This record gives sequence, structure tokens and C-alpha cells, in this order.
Amino acid sequence: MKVLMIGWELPPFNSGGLGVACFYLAKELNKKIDLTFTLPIKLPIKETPFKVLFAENIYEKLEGYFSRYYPISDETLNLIFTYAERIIKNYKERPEIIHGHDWFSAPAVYFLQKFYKVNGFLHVHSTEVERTSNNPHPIIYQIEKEYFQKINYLLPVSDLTKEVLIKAYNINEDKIFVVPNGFEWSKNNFKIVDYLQNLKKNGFQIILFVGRLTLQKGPDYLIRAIPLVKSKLPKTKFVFVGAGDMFPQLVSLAYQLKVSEDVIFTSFLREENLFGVYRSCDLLVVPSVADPFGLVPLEGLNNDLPIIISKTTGVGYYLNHILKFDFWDIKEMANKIISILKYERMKKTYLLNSQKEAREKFCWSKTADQLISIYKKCLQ
Amino acid sequence: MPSIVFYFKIHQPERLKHYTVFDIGQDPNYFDDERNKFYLDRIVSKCYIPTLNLIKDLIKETNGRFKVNFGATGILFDQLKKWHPEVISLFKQLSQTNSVEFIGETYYHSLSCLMSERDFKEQVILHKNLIKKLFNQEPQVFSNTELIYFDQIADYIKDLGFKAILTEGVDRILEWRSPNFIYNDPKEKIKILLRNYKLSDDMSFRFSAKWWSEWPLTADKFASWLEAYNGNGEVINLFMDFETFGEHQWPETGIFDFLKNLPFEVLKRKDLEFSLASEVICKYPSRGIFSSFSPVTWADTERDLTAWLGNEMQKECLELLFSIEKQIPFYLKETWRKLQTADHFYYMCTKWFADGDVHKYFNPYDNPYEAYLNFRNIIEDLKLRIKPNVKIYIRN
Repeated sequence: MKVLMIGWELPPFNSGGLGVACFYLAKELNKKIDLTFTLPIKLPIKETPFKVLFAENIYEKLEGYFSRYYPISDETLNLIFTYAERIIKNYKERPEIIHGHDWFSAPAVYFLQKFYKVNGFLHVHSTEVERTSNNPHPIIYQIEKEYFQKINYLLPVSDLTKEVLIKAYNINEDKIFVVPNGFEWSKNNFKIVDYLQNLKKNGFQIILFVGRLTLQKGPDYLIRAIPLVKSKLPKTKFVFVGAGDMFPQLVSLAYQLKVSEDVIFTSFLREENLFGVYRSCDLLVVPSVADPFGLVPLEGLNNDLPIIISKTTGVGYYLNHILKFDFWDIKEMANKIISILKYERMKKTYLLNSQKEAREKFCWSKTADQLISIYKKCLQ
Repeated sequence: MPSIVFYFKIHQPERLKHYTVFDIGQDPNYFDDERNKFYLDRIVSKCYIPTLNLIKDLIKETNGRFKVNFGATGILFDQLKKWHPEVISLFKQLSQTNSVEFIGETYYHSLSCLMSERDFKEQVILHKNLIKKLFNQEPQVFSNTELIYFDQIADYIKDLGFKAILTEGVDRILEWRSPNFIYNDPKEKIKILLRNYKLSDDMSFRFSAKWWSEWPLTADKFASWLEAYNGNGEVINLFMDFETFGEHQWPETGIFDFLKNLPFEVLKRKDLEFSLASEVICKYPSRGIFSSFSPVTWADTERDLTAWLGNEMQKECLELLFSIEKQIPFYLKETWRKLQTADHFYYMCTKWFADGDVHKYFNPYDNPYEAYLNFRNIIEDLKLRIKPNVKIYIRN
């Protein structure tokens, strides 16, 4: 089986979870089928175990490449709509399956599906409606709406996203297959963060947020919970890892609530630095307003950090050993944060059980197997 | 001629309300009356009223030859008194028929036998007094919370004047022996009636299971299985939750028709009879020793305590609760004892994926950790409330 996978980013040149998910998915699939992964331009990626095709073999101006979210530039749109054309120029084989990821590869998937007369699949890691809490960018929404209809099959990463596809995009249920992400469970290297370690030595407990600072991820709700947490546990600090358009708003919110001193913004961190932060903290809070899947909770577990998540975080659909709260219920979020930090004994049991369950449920080779069986089903 | 001993466990806990860390030191009310009433309303109309009425009719129609034993907890009677006194009067009518016996229980369906001999005994006496007051019966036979039994329990209840105890016919203890005889403890202080789990579960668990080769189960078929024990068994103990009728098994499954026909199918056969627990212990001698050092129960497949004390969270909560036993003032005693109810610990069980369905039953929590946090916060509050009030002390 020959699969042409239309991508946008790969680590370390990635803006977040999407690139990571693409990498491991392609890696596992490549063990079982013939796969070529495409990128729109030549990007400085690390070596991959699968074939990578750059649609344009020159380094382009990389600035603004990740601003595929906001603001959306003409250059980006141009890149999106000429992607397929440039692939056809460089790709000399005949694929049996076209498989893309999210809206920016959707037009390419559709054109290639028509050009090669084969089945097109679009992996939906998240939708614009979810990313913006129901306040979508009109152009992106338009592209999504059009190409979600035109592409043969859609592969959302959770039941939550499937529901959105049906309700907000009017997609026929028959062409949707849910494919949960896997996770690469491994011991990763990490750099100890001295500053956080010192805080811990001085008796502080550290609560962590990891994710883009946008509406979708709900960092503002966690900030609102800080005064409540501090009222019971004065020796706590809150670390926010990530960047995004909400940053100024969060800073002023923290100021208004008089908790500026308790909040540490680290901006976007990668790999070793990120893992070091995970390992220096006591609890990971994922207050996402809408997160179709969410790799962050699993990363937390992989780094031995107990987690609590909002009910609207996709991963939670598959896990039982996990504490959940409504993202808007700040008091309940604070209650859970305090309780976990307070009752040591449960924290241990809780962490072990949720790790065990997550390891059993999320693994990339399982995801790849599921995907291959869907390909086969659709080929018939 | 085997005697059939029906025993129905009737219990509803007082579930806790959502209790956050912010309520500690602020809110002295722990129980969710609204929810408890909601569940009770449902169980009363779906199970208690129809089943008790049916039993009453059956006793009348068989001229008292159909007999049943009830093990109802004090905490249930308290709730019935508050919200459904009509059920208590039904029980009263039944108790006057001479075909119904009340079995001794711990008042609060408590795990106290594991932690405190003193509190355990007090609760059993409380329950005994309640049964005396309500039904003018003096329980002769005891059934512990979840049928928990270990050798020491025999000593405890002998002291309290009981003649026998009910527990599970655990294979690993019985080995080749049959549960269909009466046994006694190693010191020969009391007699032991063992649950025939196969036949009991056929009725209470597999009754509506379409995957079961014997489905559908008819009264005629079941009576013929009972008859087959003639000659190699003296008592057949069918112990189950009362909620089997109408709740675990919905009316659509035909469980009420089954119960309606069973007494006649059984009594049609010359060699079978229904008995009260206190009758069989007089009628038959003990045929052997049943002994277990570690506690056995009737739960899950393991038949041990792991559903209540299988993980550290559960152990910690129970230990914490009893660590303050001596400081509990009289006015907090009832509250403290209500927290001992086994259900609170059951909700914290983390092995519920395999045994999922049963554990989820009427469970107010999404997962065991919620149950733990809630309970733990309440203990924190209780601990604050038993501390001598320093401020008042100084002022005086």
C-alpha cells in the first residue's frame, strides 16, 4: 500500500502537538506500509525514519510560517493552495491513498485525490470552531467547510471533534472515523530547572500549565483560580509554558487579581527544557475550553506528573483514572488542585493508576494498525 | 429434606454531598439528603413496595410455608422513617406472620469489625434494640456488613448472644466440602450458614443474562435444581441483595413472576421446604469447621475485602476515621458512624473495570478519586470539630 502523507511541520520545526503527532504516526505507519511524507517547503527538520518530500526544494522565508493561525497572510494562503501543484511536480510515483493533516493541507488533499483518482483522508487534529471557542476565522472556516465536504473521509482524533464535525460542519457521519492519537512512552532527557528546584526546596508547590496561550486552552481560567488556591495553600507558584495571543491579557489579569508574583511565564519551550519543567512541578492542570485530543496530559504523565483535566479535553474521553472538572468551574478546579497537593498518599496512587491506564490505551502502533484497517476498508 | 433459607440484604447508605476544601471548617452538613431521598424514592417504588407486598401475599397463599429472612440496616430504617414510613409498616405487618425473621446487622452497615471491637459491638446492640422496638423480635442470627467473616467475629457475636452467623461459601476454604450443610467456628461457639453462591447468583445476577445457557430461568427449573440436592445437602442458603427484585433485575426480565411462582414450585416437591435461619440452626447439627483467619466477604470474584480496602486511599481513610474514635464526642457519634458505611469505601475502589457494573450501581461519583477527595475533606472537617475549642476555653 502506497500512502502519500501531506504534512505541514515536523519536529523540531513544529509549533506544537501536530508536528509530533505527524512524526510518530508516519514512523509507525512506515513500518507497515510504503509512506512518503510531504512538506510544503524545505524545512530544517531532523533525520526521519521515513521518506520526506519537500514540495519546494529551497529554503523560503520561514518567518510567519507558523502564523497559519493569526493573522493569516496572503503568502500562507498561496502556499496552501499551490501545495498540491508543487507536489505533483516532484512526486514521481502513483499513490493509492492521500492522507493530510488539518485544514492547511485540506485543499492539497482534495486536488490530489482528484488528480490521482484515489481515496483522500483528512486527519482532523482540531477544527477552527474548537480552536477559537466557536468564534472561527471566516476564511479558515470557509476552507474547512468546503474541503471537509469534498474530501472522501475524515479522521478526527476524538469523539468530541467528531461531534463538532457533524454539528458545526454538517458532515455526514458515515465518512467519519475516529482515530485517537497514540503516544511515545519513553524516558526522555531533561534539563533540571534550578529556579523551580529552589522554590521547591523552600517549600513551594508548583502547578503547571502547558499549551498555547489562546482561548482554546483556557489559561485564563487557571489564573482566575489562583487566589482561591492561595487562600488555602499560600506556598504555591504557577508556571505557564507556552506562547500565544492571550499573553498580554493574562499578564493584566494576574495583575488585577494581585497574583502577578505567583505566576511565571516561560514562553514556548521545547524538549529537554520542557521536560525539565514537567519534572520540577507537582501538578499539571489542563483547563482547555475545547481540546480535541491534547498531548500535554500524556506528556505530563510520561514525566511522572499527576494531571487534572477539563471535561472538554479529548483525552479524558478514553481515561477513567482521571479527575475532571468543568473549565468554567473555577472553584471546583481550585478544590481539586488543593486536594491533590494536600493529600500526598492519594497523589501517588492516582498518578500510578492514570499512567498505567494511559500507557495501555495510547500507543502509536495501535493507532497505525487502526488506520491501516480503515484504509483497507475504504479501498474495497 | 433440604431447607431453603432466603436472606435478603436491605441497605441504602447515606451518600455524602459534594464537599470541597473550601467547606472544611465551614459546613457541618456532610450528607446529601436530596440525593439520598431521590435514590430511596426510586428503590421504594421499584423494589421495596412491590416485593414486600408480593412476599406478604405469598406467605398468605402458602399458609405461612413460604419464609424469608431480612437483614435490614439501621441506617436504612432511619431513612425510611424520615421519607417512607409506609415501608416500615409493611415490614411490621410481615413481622407478625411468623414467616419472617429479622437478622442482626451492624446499624450503619459499617466496617467497624475490622477496626474496633467496641464500636462494632455497640452498633450491633443498637441494631438489635431497633429490631426489638420496631418488630418485637430478638435476632438470633447475625449477618455482618457484606457478609464479612473471620474467626474472631465468632467470639464477638457470641458475646452478644447470637447463635449463628451468615457468610459466603468460599471455595478456597470449603475446598471439596459443600456449602449446603451447617458449619461452626473452630471454637464451636456459633454455627455458620454458608451462601450457596452458585444458586444465589443464578437468581440475582444471571437471571436476565441472555448469554447464559440456562436463560431464561423459570421457577420450575430452579426448583428442580434445588430438589437435586435432596440427599446431599441439608440447607440451601440463597443470600442476595433485596434490590435484585425490580432494580438489579428489572420487572421486564420477569423476576417478579419468577418470585411469584417459586414458592409453589418448591412446595409442590415433597422434599423441599422454606425455613427461617433460627429454625435451621436448631434442626440440623454442625457438620464441620469453617475457619478463616483473614476476612472473607461475598463480593466480586475474589470474595475478600479488596473492594473496600484494596488500595491505599481506602486504607488511609478507614485508618484516619478510626484514629479519632476516642476523641469523638457523643454529639458527633452518629455522624462518625455514618461515615463508616462500607459504601463510601466501595466508591473509592480502583479495580472496578472488570467488575464495573456492580460497583457503579447508585454511585454518586465519576471516579474513585472524587470519592476519596470528598471523604478526605470531610474527615478533615470532622477533625477540626472534635478539637477542643480553644477560643471558648480562654474566654471562660
